[in-house]
Amino acid sequence: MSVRRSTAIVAGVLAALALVQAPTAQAAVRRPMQCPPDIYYGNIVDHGDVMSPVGAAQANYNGTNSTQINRFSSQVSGTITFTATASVSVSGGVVDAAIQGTFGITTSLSLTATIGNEVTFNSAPRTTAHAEFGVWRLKTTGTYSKVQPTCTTLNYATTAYSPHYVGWYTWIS
Amino acid sequence: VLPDLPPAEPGLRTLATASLRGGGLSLPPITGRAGDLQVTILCTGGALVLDLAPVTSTTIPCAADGVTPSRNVFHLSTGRTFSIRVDAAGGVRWNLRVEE
Repeated sequence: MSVRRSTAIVAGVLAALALVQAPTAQAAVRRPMQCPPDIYYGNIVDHGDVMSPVGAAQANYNGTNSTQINRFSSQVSGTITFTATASVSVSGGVVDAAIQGTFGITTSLSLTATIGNEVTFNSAPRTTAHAEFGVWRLKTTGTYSKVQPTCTTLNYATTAYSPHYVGWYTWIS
Repeated sequence: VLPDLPPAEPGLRTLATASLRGGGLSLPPITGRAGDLQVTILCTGGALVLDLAPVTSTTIPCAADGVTPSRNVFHLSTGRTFSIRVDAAGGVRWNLRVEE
């Protein structure tokens, strides 16, 4: 074996060793991936307002032969709060912010329906006037997501009810 | 802070609006179809009376120190023509949107 050939072999062995050791050196300085915890509500669908009654529904049958004036008033006060159905605890503040950002709609964590609201309307003979008082809550469905420190994201299908307005729903049957 | 108007509801048709003001107001008659007639009012500073003659009249207490978000839905069994009037003292600030 010539000196030139043996030098080439030694150089090749050293290069191979360097290649084998290189990943070990990189692993020594690599940090585990870390993400700041984050929570958000996305893929939101607006299903409109749903009445959450405060107090009992009221009704008045018109058994006369003429049009009747019906006057209903809120009998009790009550506070209706944010609720959500999901396999994880859902923050109303996160949902409110997401609804505001997505639709420009302002919702609250709670709304209080008070005594002092009145509604008056007419009903024809042989009909019944109905009045329901309470808090309209905006129903949304979406995905509640929690970003873990390991950068994985856990997703939860969610149905949320966010207090929106106070008022009446009236109808005649 | 009260916006100039209550926001429109997706999928509904606006029949009338009244921008932010104090005191009372009368609007020209409008015609609503059979179905839900929705009146949204944001108000503050005292009570107001919403009169949709001849359909209905509603008294709404408005918070003195905040905004009361009020929505009343009247299910109409037939189409109706009605006028809109709001009675309120000058210190009551409110706006209105009527939709169907």
